[in-house]
Amino acid sequence: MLGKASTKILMHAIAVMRPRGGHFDADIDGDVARMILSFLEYLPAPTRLTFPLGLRLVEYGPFLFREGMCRFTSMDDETATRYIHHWERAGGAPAMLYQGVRALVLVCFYQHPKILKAMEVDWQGRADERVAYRAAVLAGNPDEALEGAGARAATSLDAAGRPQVVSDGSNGGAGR
Amino acid sequence: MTVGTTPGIPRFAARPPEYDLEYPNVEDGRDFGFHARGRHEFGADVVVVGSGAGGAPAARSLRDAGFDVLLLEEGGLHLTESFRTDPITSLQRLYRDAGTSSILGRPPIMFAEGRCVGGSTVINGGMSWRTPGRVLDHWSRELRLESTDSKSMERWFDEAQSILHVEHQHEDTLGRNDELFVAGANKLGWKVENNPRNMHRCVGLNNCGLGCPTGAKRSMLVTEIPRALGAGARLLTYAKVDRVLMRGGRAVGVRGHFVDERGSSRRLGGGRLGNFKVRARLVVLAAGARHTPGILMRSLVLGGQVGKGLHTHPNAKVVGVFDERVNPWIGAHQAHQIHQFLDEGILIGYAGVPPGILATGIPGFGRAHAERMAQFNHMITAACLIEDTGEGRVVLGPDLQPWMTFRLSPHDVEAVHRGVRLAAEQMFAAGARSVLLPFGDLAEIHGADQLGEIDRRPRKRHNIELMTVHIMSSARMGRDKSAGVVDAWGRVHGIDGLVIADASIIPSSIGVNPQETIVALALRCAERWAGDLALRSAS
Repeated sequence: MLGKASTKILMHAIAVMRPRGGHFDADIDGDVARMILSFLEYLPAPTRLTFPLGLRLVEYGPFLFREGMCRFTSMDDETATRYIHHWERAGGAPAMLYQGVRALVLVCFYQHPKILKAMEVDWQGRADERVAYRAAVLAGNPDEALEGAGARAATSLDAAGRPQVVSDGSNGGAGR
Repeated sequence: MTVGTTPGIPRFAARPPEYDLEYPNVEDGRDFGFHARGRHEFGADVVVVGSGAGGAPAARSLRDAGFDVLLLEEGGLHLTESFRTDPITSLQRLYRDAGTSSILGRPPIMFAEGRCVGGSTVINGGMSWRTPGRVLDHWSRELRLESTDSKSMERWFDEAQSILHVEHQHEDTLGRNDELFVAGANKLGWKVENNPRNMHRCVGLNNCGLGCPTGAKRSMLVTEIPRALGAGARLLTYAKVDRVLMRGGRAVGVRGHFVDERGSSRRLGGGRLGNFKVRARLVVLAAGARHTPGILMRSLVLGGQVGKGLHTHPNAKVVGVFDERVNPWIGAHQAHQIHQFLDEGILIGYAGVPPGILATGIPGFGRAHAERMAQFNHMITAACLIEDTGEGRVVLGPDLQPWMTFRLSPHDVEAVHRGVRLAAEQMFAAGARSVLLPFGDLAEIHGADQLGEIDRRPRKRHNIELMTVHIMSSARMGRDKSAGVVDAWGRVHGIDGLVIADASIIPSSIGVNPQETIVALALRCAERWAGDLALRSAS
């Protein structure tokens, strides 16, 4: 739903805003952009329709914050970071736009399967195990049924407190 | 159409019984194409708009009383086995506006509500508190609302609790976050409430907010909806109501349009969806405290108290960061709450929040953000909920959709600071090494000795981060038109055949999670409406 120019601005915003360092340095910007684009379809019409306009304001807005007559997409990381902070502190509509883009980037980044795995969060793996466990409890024989389902007790932890059920972090192929 | 299972979902050796529930008499609105010269027409004794905590029990109750009931829902029928832990997918499927709604004001308040069969009961935390006695006393004595005193309401709360299957959390489902939450309260000498929750053998997945794939949560999706459908009620999904049809001062039905899974009347692949009209003797609005007044306003039911008196029950998050690993995603969702400060209008709880959602509440971006989020498994997300005294409004926006505005009163601002201080104190008492706060100008404190900074913070509103899932009172009960939109039995003043059964009729902020109040009021009102309908038939 976004045009080529808007997508380019969004990609640059992702590159600047996404978490980085340590196991967050995964090459997933393209995936994050695709997740954001799918999300945009579900936003209320006023937000959806004004979003590309907001991105253009970000692109052509550096002069408003005395960053010179350049475009956002041509800024290096350091300058772009400083520029985005201007939007954060501006209050009103600019701050709301900043919050909206930031939220989309962060939600899609941290829920990426690679990041979840790096963070050692396997919520879906635990869900699969809990579904089987509850069914077994209600059927009156949890141990046997758990074995049959290939599930394990997710609450067992290692010496460092890490849960002992870790799958590939996928969502089972459903929903997307 | 009868829906029973979803293809493509892996089967386990044992399946939860909720996976085998049947949903007969369901029609999918996306199957109704656009006709340039007309609308798809339906008829029923009763049309119920919305299938959440108010609409579903009202529909079931009226069907049991022998009426032909048609239930309309703007969202889709998503079965228990389709629920996932991925918020991207779940927000799109189960939430209105993919969970991005907000209440305009200073500060803006993030707001989320369900848009699916079962409504917000599918995505709530499953807390089932009765309306506090002091609130019921206020309704019956000061607002003089008939039969709303504690004794009269007891029968309806009993019935609501039976439907919701309210029980306490099993010990084997509690996570480390719960243990620390309780430990902090115990150290401070606070009384800890064992949370009554609507569930049948919860196993502590902590995914309540994205739909419970284990089937344990007794949402309307697995209780009143299948019961109503099994008894012969009909359900039309993806059907969004625009307005109530009136003739000679009485409601005679509703009209609206079909939408796709995005809420749009234009299909993604091209083409438009159809419009519809439902003729009925009784119109029950149960679209929630935002959209019910919106439908009234679009139907030109204006003036009086419509859209006024909105309460938001805002909450502010307080994140404790611990040296030890907490694994906040393991354990039950809010098995305990602190009610010690309810007289001050403050309730304290906690929740398991997916990393992506929690991340939006942590300030900054880039490397600094990553450094904080790297501690995710060491975090407990607590929150204080405030019984607000300010009042907001629901108004029609330029897009003819209901927009909400709300301004915190000075008392509410003080209560937010007091609640945040208490929750932070509890986290430090539990052993947190630092606490993240919901203030733009005071994002983190590093010890109990810094709690005073919360007291000293200038009472600026604009950079307090708040959210809510508990809006109410936007078409409230009142003895007459000058005091409320509906009478004590949910009947709209001055319009025959139009009634309301959702959080919008709650006459004042109740200070606790409102689900059980909504169910109880809907059951109580539905019995009266069945009597009214029978009388009218006889006459």
